[in-house]
Amino acid sequence: MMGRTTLWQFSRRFGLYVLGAALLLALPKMMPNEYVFRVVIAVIIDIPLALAQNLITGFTGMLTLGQAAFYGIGAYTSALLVLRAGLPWPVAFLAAGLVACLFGILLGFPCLRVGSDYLTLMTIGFGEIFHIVALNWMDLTRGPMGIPGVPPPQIGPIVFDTSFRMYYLYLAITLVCYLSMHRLTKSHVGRALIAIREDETAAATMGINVAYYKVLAFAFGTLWAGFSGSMLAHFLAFVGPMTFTLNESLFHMQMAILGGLGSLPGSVLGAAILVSLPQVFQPLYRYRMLLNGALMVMLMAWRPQGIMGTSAAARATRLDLRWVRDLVRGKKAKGAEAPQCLEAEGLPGRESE
Amino acid sequence: MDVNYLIKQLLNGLAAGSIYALVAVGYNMVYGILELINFAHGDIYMFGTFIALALLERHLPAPVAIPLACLAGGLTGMLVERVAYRPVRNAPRVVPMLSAVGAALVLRNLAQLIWGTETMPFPQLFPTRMIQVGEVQFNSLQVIILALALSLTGLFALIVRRTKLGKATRCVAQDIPAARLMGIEVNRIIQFVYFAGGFFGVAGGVLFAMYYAVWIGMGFLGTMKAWIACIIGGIGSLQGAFVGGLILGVTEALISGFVSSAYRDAICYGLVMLVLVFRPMGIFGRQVAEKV
Repeated sequence: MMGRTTLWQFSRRFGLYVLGAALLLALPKMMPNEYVFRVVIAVIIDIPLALAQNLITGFTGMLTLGQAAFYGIGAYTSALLVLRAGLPWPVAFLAAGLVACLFGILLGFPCLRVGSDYLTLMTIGFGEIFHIVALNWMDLTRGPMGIPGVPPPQIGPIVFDTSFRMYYLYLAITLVCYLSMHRLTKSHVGRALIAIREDETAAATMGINVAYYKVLAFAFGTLWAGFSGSMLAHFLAFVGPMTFTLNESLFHMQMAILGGLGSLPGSVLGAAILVSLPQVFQPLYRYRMLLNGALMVMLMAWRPQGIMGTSAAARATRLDLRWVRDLVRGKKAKGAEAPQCLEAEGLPGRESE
Repeated sequence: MDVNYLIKQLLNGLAAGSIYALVAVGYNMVYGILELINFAHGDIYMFGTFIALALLERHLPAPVAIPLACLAGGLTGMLVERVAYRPVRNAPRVVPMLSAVGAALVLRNLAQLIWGTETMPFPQLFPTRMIQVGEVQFNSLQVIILALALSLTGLFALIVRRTKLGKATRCVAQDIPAARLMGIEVNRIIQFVYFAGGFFGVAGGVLFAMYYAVWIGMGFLGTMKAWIACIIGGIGSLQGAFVGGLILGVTEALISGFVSSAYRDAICYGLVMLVLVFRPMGIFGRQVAEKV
């Protein structure tokens, strides 16, 4: 697959990896204060969310807007298992991902039966159901009061109670996430997912088991949303229902889109930008969601493939930008939706003007 | 079980359902023509309802304020179409859908910056008296809402069925390139559809606000209810959307009356998801090939 790699290419790549690893390891030493440090950890927690959304939407082409529910299931599972059942953190962490994954598979099967728009509706519906249950099931979730006092992660005698320690733990988890996503998308599974995104019928004709791979993408994406939820619960020391709304799901989608659908480094970048930007521009905090929405509209119009979108994903989201050119030249935008064959002269209607 | 209680719940459901129906009718027009989920629809009607409230608070008489607000809603719809939808109309489905979500976010947060997040009461424009028929007691507002929603939907259906504009709209819904070849100005028709959707949406929003209250979240709520109503009634059909809205309203009232009001929406979503599993094209929907 890789072809022949020259020594120079290899050493350059290797050098980049070493440099990146050194940077990540040394990052805590460069933190000016605790506040910035916590923003960095928040970015690390959100990266798996962006990657998971990217796997489901960017690679497989399923437009789901219910990831917040799985994020929430992970957070609640982890917090409740540690606080109520008294289980050690590693068990709770693993359970958080697995429970979320189980619900993901349960939702994935009915989603196979429905068309694209209804899939979105089903996932939004699932998200809303989760939110309502979390708000009203007082015995389990304490409703709107939430669950305070979630302890920090602990492996044996080591307690990850400072930002410094938590950083390395969460960095390791997120790295595992990135590498597993990388392996998955570069393997035959990833090619199958992309084939399904490009043309489901053609993929099925080629012998790809569409149902299997779609549910697989669902399972893997929700698994990591659950892990990420567990990370959040032990980071904030609190779980409440208001974190896991449709807005949160939209945020996951925005991270994946801004970075670029179909690009894993893009998702990392998207998470970094969207989590840290509101903190950088604190005075604009009130306008955060407004600007987010405007950004989304503009991104869709001008660069739907995102910052680092792959050329294949870009082709799948190809756009007619003639109207921008016409707008710039001061011409009346016309025919942005007209197929080529209708651009003949002399037809009746506005086209002949 | 008390029969009067059942009838009362049914009436509640019909009143709420007729409001959903009014919002869904405009929504379904857009859905039928462009096969585009208009995520901003609810936020357009929320925006218009807030404008109606602002105008009424400036002591404008209701017969002036409400049509003005409806007009504003229609214009907002046209603006959203021009800015967020038309540039991406030819792109794959994901792109316009997300663009719509972006437009919805802008509208919602703009409204939040202007009017805040509190739930506000809406002035009662109609008499609210309790009417007693036999054993059953109901509110005059419910009857007025039902009548208004029915007549407005009838008016809308009349425009679509009987006028030249409506004929052109139906042509565009059938086949955009062919409609263009017939000399129909497709962009103008699509703008009309968005205008009508916003206009009737705000009318529904004002009724909704009188029945419940005004708050930012009613926008998203409206989008989801309209969407569900369209799925129940069938995509692109006016009567379908109306019937779907009524069914949704009655179902909700029965759930909150007999099962649980806290879990009403959760149960409703669950039911819709179940329906979609067994009838992936909606309850009354026909098998329509997906536009690629």
